[in-house]
Amino acid sequence: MTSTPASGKDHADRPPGRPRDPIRRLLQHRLYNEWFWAYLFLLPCLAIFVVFLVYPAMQSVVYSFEAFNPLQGERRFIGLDNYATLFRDPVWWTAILNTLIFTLATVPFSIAVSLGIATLLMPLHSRLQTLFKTVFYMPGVTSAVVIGMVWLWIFYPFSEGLANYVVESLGGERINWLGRSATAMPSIILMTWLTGLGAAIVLYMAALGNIPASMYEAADIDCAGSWTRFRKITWPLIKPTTLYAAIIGTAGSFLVFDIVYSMTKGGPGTATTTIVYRLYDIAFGRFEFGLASASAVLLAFLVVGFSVLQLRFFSTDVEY
Amino acid sequence: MKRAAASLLTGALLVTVAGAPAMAQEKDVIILKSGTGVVSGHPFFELVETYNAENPDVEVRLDIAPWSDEIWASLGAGLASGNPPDVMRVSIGGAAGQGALQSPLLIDTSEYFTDEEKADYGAGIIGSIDIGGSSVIWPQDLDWGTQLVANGDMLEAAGIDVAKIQSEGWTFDEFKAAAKALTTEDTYGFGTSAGYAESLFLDLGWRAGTPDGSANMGAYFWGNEFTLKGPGQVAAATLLHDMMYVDESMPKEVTGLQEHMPLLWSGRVAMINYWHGAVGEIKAYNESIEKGEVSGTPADFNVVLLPYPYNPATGGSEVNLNRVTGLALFKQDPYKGDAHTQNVIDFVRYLTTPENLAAFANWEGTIPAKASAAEFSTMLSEPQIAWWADHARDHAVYTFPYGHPGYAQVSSDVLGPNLTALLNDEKTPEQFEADVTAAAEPILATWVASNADTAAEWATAPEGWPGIYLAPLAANP
Amino acid sequence: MSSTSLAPGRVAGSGPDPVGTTSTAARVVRGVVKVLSYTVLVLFAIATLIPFIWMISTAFKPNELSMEMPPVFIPPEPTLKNFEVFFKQMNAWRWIFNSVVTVSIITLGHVILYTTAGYALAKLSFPGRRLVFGMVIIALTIPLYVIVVPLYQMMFQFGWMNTYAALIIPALVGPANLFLMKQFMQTLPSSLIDSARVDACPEWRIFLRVVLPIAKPGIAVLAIFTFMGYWNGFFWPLIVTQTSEMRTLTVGLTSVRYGSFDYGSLMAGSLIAAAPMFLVFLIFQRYFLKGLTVGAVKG
Repeated sequence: MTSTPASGKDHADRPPGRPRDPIRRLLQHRLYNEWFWAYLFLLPCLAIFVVFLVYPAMQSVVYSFEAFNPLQGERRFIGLDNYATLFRDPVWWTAILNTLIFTLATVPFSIAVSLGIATLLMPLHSRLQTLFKTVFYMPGVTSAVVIGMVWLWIFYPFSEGLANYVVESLGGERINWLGRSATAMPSIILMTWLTGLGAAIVLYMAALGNIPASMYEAADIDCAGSWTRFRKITWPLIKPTTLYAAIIGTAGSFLVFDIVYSMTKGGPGTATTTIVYRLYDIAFGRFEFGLASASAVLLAFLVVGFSVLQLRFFSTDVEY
Repeated sequence: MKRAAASLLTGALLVTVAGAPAMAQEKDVIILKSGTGVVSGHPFFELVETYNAENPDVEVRLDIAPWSDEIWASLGAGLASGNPPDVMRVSIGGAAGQGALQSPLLIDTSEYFTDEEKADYGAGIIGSIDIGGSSVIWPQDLDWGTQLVANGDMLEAAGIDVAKIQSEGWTFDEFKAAAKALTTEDTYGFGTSAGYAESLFLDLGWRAGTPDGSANMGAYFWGNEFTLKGPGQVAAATLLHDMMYVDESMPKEVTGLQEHMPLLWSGRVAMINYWHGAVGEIKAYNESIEKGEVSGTPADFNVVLLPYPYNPATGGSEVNLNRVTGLALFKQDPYKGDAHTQNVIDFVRYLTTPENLAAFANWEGTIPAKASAAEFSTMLSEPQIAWWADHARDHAVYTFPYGHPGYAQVSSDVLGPNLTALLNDEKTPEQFEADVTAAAEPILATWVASNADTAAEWATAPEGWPGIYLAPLAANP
Repeated sequence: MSSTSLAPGRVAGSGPDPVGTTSTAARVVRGVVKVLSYTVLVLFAIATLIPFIWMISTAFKPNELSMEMPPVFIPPEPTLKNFEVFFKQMNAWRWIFNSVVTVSIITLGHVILYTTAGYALAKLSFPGRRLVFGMVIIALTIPLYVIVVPLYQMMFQFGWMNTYAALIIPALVGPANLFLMKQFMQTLPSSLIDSARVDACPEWRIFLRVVLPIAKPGIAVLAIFTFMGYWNGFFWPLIVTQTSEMRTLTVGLTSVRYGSFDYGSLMAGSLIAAAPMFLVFLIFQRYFLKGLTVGAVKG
């Protein structure tokens, strides 16, 4: 270290003013400073997580082992009885079945159709792309309540409903869409098909846009057919997106509530009762917090379980 | 910095000065809590304001919210913490839901009624608020349940004798025939909706001889026994099913509708099940169209109220609900003293003067409980409603004010889905009754097993049950 | 998408077609498929759009027309009556106020909390970093519904039931946002931060002067998504508000539904609830589209 006249900018060979006092040295040490700020930045949000997320999660588990009805003021430990009740409850199984049907009917469809639409949109002019993207994403920025109300008009059982108008114009008989068990869930599924595509389309367009053209050119040289191109080049390269869409989509489908509440209230009968709707009914209809918590815990297992399964299944060769 | 401090100090000073007089006076605070349908324009606002102005040593604070489960939950929470509101408007069933009626904090109003007040209410009402020897509320208004609301013009056109039905009632068969006669190419005789189907069914079943409960609060299940079974239920189920699929006098789309009043309003059906307030509602709706406040087609027909039909073949008769709503009075723990309680009583008396009572009932669309309030009641000034009040009173029976707690699950898990299946022609009436019974009994049994204490309260029915529930009380003693 | 070496007239991605080896029949089929698929695309778009068009037109139509078939999309005499009715009937103004205030505060809270926390996780090193990140991942898997019952109880215990506190404070939980900001911050160049450190710049200054300015796009995405998510939020406000005065717009709408056969005012209210989001989306489109891709698309 040569001794050059001190210049304000030349720090490379002069360490920042080294105080003699070891404590002060510690306090001014870069790492210490960094830790302090790191903790300071993280503390508020972690505190909030603990109080409003982690602690309630643990409480949910605790409640699930209790018979807890706040209105009747009773609260006592009953072990696994709540879980037993759920397992013996036919409506609970109906809820699981309904939710599974809903998920299986909507998620793969959404992913496939979104991918298809994204592919169709890629060659278009960017203005057109934006137009379509906007149209498809609109339902995503609208609340489920508003969408539900509008679709209640579409599914109105008499001839004034748009769906029945279409059916009758095509020569059919009007349908009691949300009133019959056989058509209620399909109606909700149909509605989800037409309102849930936006996000995935945007994602896929970004992913497709990231595939360098050189990849396709190489394929052209090898005389690969369309399907082969897709299978060997496109699909693997957009796998991360597919995985992401699948996990988020599945989790969202498992948790469907808003739309059921605003359109059918779980009806007719229990035809559209989903897991979360059942939870809501038990918790805020009957005020059986213990039983509701048991269903919440089971719900958590289901959601996490499916996510993990999907991660396992899909991400064998996806790097993050 | 200095300036900021200075303005802060001034602000604090001002606030203290403003607050001082309020603190110096130390008014006795009374909390009045109520649920409501619509908040804005609720009569309590004005009543409370006037009372506060006229009684400077008391401050009544009003806490109003739309009816919801959370209202009851907060009452329960208040009772549990020893701090319930002083006065709360309750239906007895709602209050029962959180043990309010057994709470030591509930004030026995019979200790405060004067003889004139008792006479003004009448023995029937005083009797119906007596639970376990104490009076649980200070009555305000009456609920006589739902009945049929009909398009009088259509009835006339079809030659149906409204006067006869209103004076003598009608049987299931007569009702069914009338609905068929009223069905034309564009109109149905009768309509309801998914939301109202269950209460309709319970009402019909009751009048076909099934021991049930008030259709609003659920079944009683005295002795913890499932009672919604038997020929009466089958008869009610058959009536509804056949109207839809044999006579086609009721639209099949019922299960897909959330509300059915528009069906009547727009002339698509001739009769619906609804409450007597429909008379006022239609009037208000027409008026607001006239004034240009709302756009739509006015419902310009003659509104007629009719009783539900009954089925003598299965032991049914014409019976009606007898339910009182009113103010529950609570003490606090620690007790605030007799002076405070007296203030509360005075305030409640003020709320229930004939004029104020009628004003309240008018707004709610209910019938005031005191005879002296009748002359101020706009409801009773409507001939149809006045008819209904007399009819209901003549056919009123003893009705326990709240339903069996195990009913909730039976209703949502068994009765609801099966009724939907029946109305969608997926089950026959007999199948329906059998399936409901088969599914409900185990649920009830499980409930009883896990709620032994509450079940014990329901183990013995009131004396004379179910007879007293299936036949009108003798004229009020 | 560059197409440098393709024959003129061919669109990249339309399939290989080495000259001369595809029969006319195959080309015709390909053309038909193309036309069909684009028709389907347009039909889908129309089907998605129709409910919104109906909503807007019904809001401006007199009630008699709202249930007419075929649907009258352009009202002959547009009217503002429905909006009048909507605002008169219930606490509509209050609902809007509640939504605006609570959601704004929540969004601001999220921005402050998670920009700082995300930065810390991404760029600062400190003991326990792995642990914290692991905790975040776990937190991500807990949906609201799983904790709603104890959270509801907590509101009673804190005395927050039916208050703004209940609407705002628990809503500040946002592990997804923390994850998002961490991912985003990681993409910012560390060299800037390092050289600032070498300049003996205190950490907080680094954050404010160096990081924030370049983090703006990420913050914008965070703010927009958070605002939109909570504006449309339904379940929590539903159970935590008891009086009409405290309800948010989305929840209040459902109470207009019952006891009203007046589709006009219902749609007017719905439009008021949805319009801000439409506007925000249209104006800040590129942020939306950018935000969606963070974390899902490589690069």
